[in-house]
Amino acid sequence: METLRYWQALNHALDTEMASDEAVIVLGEDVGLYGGTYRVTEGLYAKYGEMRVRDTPISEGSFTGLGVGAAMAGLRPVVEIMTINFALLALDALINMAAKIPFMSGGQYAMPLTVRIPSGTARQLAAQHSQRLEHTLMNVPGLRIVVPATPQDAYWQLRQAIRADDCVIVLEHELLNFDQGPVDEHSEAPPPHRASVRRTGSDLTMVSYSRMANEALIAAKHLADDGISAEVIDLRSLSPIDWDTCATSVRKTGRLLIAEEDCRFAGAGAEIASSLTERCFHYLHAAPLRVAALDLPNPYNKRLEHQIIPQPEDIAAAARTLALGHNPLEEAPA
Amino acid sequence: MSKTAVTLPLLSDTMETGRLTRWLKQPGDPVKVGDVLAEVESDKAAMDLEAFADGYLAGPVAPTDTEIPVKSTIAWIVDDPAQAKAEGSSSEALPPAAPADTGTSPSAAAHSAAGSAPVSPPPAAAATPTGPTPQPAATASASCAASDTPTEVVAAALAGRGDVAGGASPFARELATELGLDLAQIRGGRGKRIGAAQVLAAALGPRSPTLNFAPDYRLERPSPLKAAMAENIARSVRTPTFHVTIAADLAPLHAAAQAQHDSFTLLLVRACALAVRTHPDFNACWTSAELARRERIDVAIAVDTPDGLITPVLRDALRPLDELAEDWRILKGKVGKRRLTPADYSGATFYISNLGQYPKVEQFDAIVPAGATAVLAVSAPGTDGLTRLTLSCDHLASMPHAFLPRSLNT
Amino acid sequence: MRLIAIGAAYAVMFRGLPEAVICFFGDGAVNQGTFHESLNMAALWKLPVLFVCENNHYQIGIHRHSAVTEVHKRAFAYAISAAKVDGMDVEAIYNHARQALAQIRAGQGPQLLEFETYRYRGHSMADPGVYRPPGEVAAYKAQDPIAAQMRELELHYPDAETLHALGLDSTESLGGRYVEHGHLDTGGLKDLEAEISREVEDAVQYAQTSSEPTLDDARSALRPHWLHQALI
Repeated sequence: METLRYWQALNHALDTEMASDEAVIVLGEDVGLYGGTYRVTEGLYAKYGEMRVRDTPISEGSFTGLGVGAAMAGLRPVVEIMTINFALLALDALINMAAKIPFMSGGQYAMPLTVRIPSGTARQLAAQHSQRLEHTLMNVPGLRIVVPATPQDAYWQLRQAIRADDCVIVLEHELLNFDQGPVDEHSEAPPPHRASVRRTGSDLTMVSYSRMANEALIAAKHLADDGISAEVIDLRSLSPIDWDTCATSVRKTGRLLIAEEDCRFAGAGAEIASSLTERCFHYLHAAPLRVAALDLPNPYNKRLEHQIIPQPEDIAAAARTLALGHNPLEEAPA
Repeated sequence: MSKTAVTLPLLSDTMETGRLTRWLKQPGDPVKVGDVLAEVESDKAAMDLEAFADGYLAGPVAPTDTEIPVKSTIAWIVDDPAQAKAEGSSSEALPPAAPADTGTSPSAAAHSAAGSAPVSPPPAAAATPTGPTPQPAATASASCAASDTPTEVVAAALAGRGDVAGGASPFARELATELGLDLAQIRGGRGKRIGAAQVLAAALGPRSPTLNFAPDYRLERPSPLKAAMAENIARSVRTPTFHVTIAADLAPLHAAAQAQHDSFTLLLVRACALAVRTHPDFNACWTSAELARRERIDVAIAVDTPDGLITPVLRDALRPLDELAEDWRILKGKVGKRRLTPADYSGATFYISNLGQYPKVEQFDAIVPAGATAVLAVSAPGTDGLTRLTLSCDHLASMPHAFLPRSLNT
Repeated sequence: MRLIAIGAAYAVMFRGLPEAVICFFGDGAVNQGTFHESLNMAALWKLPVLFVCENNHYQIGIHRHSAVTEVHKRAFAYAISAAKVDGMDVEAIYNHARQALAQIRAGQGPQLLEFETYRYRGHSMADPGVYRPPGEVAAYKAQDPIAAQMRELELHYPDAETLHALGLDSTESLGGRYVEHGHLDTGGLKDLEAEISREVEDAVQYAQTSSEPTLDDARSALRPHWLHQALI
C-alpha cells in the first residue's frame, strides 16, 4: 500500500499493463516526449519507445479513429483525448465507430479500446474548456464509462478498462490529478462498474460521481455536525450504473439527493433520478433532489464560475431541506 | 536602495505549491534580467526561474526541497552589493511549508477559500515585501454551516418542488389505497399535502359519512376547542364500555351542600373521589401495553357551553373543599370567558356529568372519555325522589361489581 | 475558427461586397480535419479568405506533428496560391498582405500566407514597462494565467544567448529601420512605446477597477435576443 497522487495511480496502471502486454499502446497529444499534459504518461516514452507511446498531431477525430482501427486489428490502444471538450471532435469515432462496430459486425470485431478523457471544470478555463459531457456519452449504447474519484479507483479502473474487450471511456477529472490517496496495487479490484458506499447514513442518500462524490463527502461530514446522517454513494461508473447499490440505500433512507457537476437540464442526474424513482417509488418520502451546475456556459470570471458549480455548502444546504422536509423557497405551510 | 521581491510564480493554472530543486545563484551574486536564478518544480514540470530585475541576489532565500506556496517571496534582488552580502543566510522570514495534503481535493479548499475574493492587483511598491499566503487546509468547514439565503445552485435544485400545493406522497398514496381510504376525504398536513401521518390518522379515526343522498349542507369549520373535544370523544369509540345504574337518595347530599354553603357539584366530586380512593382500579387506565395507575384523582365536570360540552378538571379532588371551591371558581370564570386551555380540560381520571337541572331526564349514559376510567351520569330526581346514577366504565380497567353500591354509600 | 471565417466569407461573396476575411491560426492547427475542409471549400467556391498561418514551429511539445512542415505547400493541393514570408519583418508582412488582400477583394479567390516567426519573444525582452518597478511586473505576471501558460511554453524555447544571436524582434527591427530611414528619432520611438504602454495600462486599470459581473450578466449573455420573449 502506498500513497499516490491520482495522476501517479493512472501512470502506474498504464505502466503495469504496458509491461505485461505488448499490445497495449498509448496515443495522444504530448503523451510521449512531454510526458502528458497532466503527467499521466510520464516516463512511458523512455521506457516503451515511440511505437508504443505515440505523440499525435492535433487531430482528435483522426487519432481516435485510428485507435478504433488498431483495436479492431488486435492492439489494445489507450487513446488520450486531452479534455472532454476536444472529444467533441472525436464523437464520430467514438459514437459511430467504437460504439457501433462490434454491434454491426455481429460481435466479430471486439473493441478493446480505452479512451482516457480528463473532464470537468478546472479553474477559469472558460466556456469551451470546462464542459462536462458525460450525459452525451451515457446515451450511447456500446460505450462503457467509468469515473474514478480516488487514486485507488483510478488505478483499478484504468487497468480494468485496458483489459476489457469493449470500448471503455475513463472520464478523469482535471482537478483530481493531484489528490493523494492510498493505492493498493496488488489486492483484487471490485467490479469496474460497481458503486461504492463511501459513507453510511440513515437520513438521506447522496448519489454522486467523480469529483462531486468527494465534495458530497465533505458536505456529509458537516451535516453530521447538524445531526443529519447522510449516506454517500460514489457511482464509480456512469454506464452501466449500479442501481442495486443505490436502490438498497434509497429504500433504507427514503430520500435521494443527487450531486453532479453536469448541467442540470438533461444531465447525468436526470437519468439517475428517473431510474431510482422508478425503483424506489413506494419508499420515497419526497421527490429526488438534483444538485447540479447551473444551465450556463462556464463564465471565465472566477467568482461566477464558483457560483455555477455545486460547492459542498450547496450540497449540504440542499440535503438539509430534503432531510428536514423544509423548502426555503416555499411559503410557510398552511 | 531598491529591493525587489522574487516570488514563486504560478507556473500552471492548477499549481498551488512548488519546490525549489536548486539555486543557481547565491546571495551576493550579480543578476541581470533574464538570468536563471533557480530551478522550480511545479505540479506539471520543472522549469527555470528567471530574474525580472537587475541587481544582486539577496537573502533570505527559500530553502530547496520544500513545498512552498505559489506567490511566496523566495529571495530578493537589491541594487546594493554590500547589502546583498549582508542579508546572508536563509534563516529568517521563510515561507511556511504548505500544509500536508489530507487526501481530500485541494481544489475544494482553495475554491471555497478563494471563491468570493475579488481578484486584486498586486502591491505597487517594490519595497513592500509580499509575504507568503499559505493555502488554508480545510476552510470548506466554515462555509458548510446552514445559512439563510439559498445560493443559485441550491435555488435551482429546489425550484419547482412544491409548486403546486396538495397531492400526496407516493407512500401516503399507497397506504391510502391499501387501507381503502379515499384521499379526497383526507385533509392534508404541511403544504396541504397528504402524508402518511394524515392517512394513518384517518384510518384510525372515524370515517366520514357519505352525504350523497342527504340534504344539501354547508361546511362549517369548527373552533379549535370543538375540534379538540370531538377528537377526544372520537378516540373513546374503542373503549369497551358497560353501564350500571342505581337509584340513590341524594337528598342528604343536597342538604349538606346547603348547610355548608358548598356547591352540590363539589360535594359530588368529593364523594366520587373518595369512592375512587377506596377502589383504586377506577383510577387506572389502559395504555397500549400496560396499565397506568395514577397517583392522583383528578375529577372533571362536564359543562355545557355555546362551544359544546367541555370538561374542566379539578385536580387532586381529595384536597380540602375550600381549595376545590376556589379552583372551581377560577375554572368557571375561564369557561365564561372562553379561556379554557387544554391544561384545564384534559387529563381527568374520572368524570361527572350532571343533568340534574333538567327535571325530565330520568336516566342517561355518559361516554367515558379516553384516558379516564369511568364517568358518573347524574340525572334529575324521579317521581320517587330518587336520583338515577349511571356509572359508565372502561371495562378494560375496572371490574365494577362492587364499586357503585359501595361508593354511593359514602 | 476557420469555419467561421469561411462562413463570413460566404456572406461577403453572397452580398457581392469587395471585402476580404482574414483568418489566423498557428502551425499546430493545420492537422485538424477542418483545415483541409475549409481550404477545399474556400477554393471550390472562391471564397474571399486570406488564410494566415503563424508558424513558430513550437507548441507545447517539440515533436514533429506534420508530415509536411511548410504549411504554405499544403495550400497548393487545393489550388490556392500561397507564399512563405518572414514573419519578423513588419514591412514584408504588410506588403504581402496588402497585395493578397487586393487580389482577394477583386474576387480572385482565397490565398494563404505562411508567416515564419521562428522564435517566441520572452517577456523579459519585450516588456516595455520600464517605468514600473520590475517587482510589480513580476508579481503581476506571476498571477496572470496567460503569462503562466507562456512560461510553460518557454520551457522549450531557445535560451537567452540563442535569442540574442537571432537578432532583434520584429518591433525592434522595424523601429530601428524607421530611425535609420529618418522617419522617427530615438526619442520619437520612445514616445511611441510609452504611449502604447499607457494605453495598455489604462485598459488594465479599467478592467481591474470595473465591478465584477453577476450571474444575471451571464444569463443575459446566454440569450441576448430572447430575454424578453416568452418561449413557452
